[in-house]
Amino acid sequence: MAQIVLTDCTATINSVELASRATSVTINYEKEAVEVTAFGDASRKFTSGLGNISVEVVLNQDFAASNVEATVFPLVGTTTTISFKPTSAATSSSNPSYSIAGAYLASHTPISGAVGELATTSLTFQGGTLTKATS
Amino acid sequence: MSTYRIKSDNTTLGKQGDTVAGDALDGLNVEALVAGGHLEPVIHSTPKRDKHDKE
Repeated sequence: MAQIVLTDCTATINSVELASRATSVTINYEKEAVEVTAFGDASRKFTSGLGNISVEVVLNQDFAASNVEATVFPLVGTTTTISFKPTSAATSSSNPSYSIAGAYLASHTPISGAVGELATTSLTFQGGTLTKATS
Repeated sequence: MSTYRIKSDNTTLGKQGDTVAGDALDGLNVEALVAGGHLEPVIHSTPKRDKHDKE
């Protein structure tokens, strides 16, 4: 398995392909550790608790029709499906697709940047159910 | 069943001008897609009732 430099990720938000505006994607996938340590144990023990998924996406802002702002603004405070792949090639074991159904868009920064900087927006999705597909 | 026409060229739902059935949009936020200019509802016209039907 080769290491990879991210240059061609796909980023689909509510079925809209926004990879051409995306500059950063982070999928955080975790399961809460619930302690089950009891008397007689020599060390702490844990079992899997609730899953906790969050996704951070940074996009170059674009106010054109059907682009970043038009797509993202109506999603704030609602849930949708988002998906990402390391490259735009077909889904496979070496290019898995990560899809989160029921992802809640908690925040969006419609205008963000200092003078002379590119306008960007940072999105934070929380919750939902993560599915990893390899075919 | 609702049907929508694709208005934008950057969705994974199909090509601009295609129609998509509402049940193919499970898990998506359809209201946001409409608000964002990606979809528009297709209004199905109901056939006019014939004169005899009214009598």
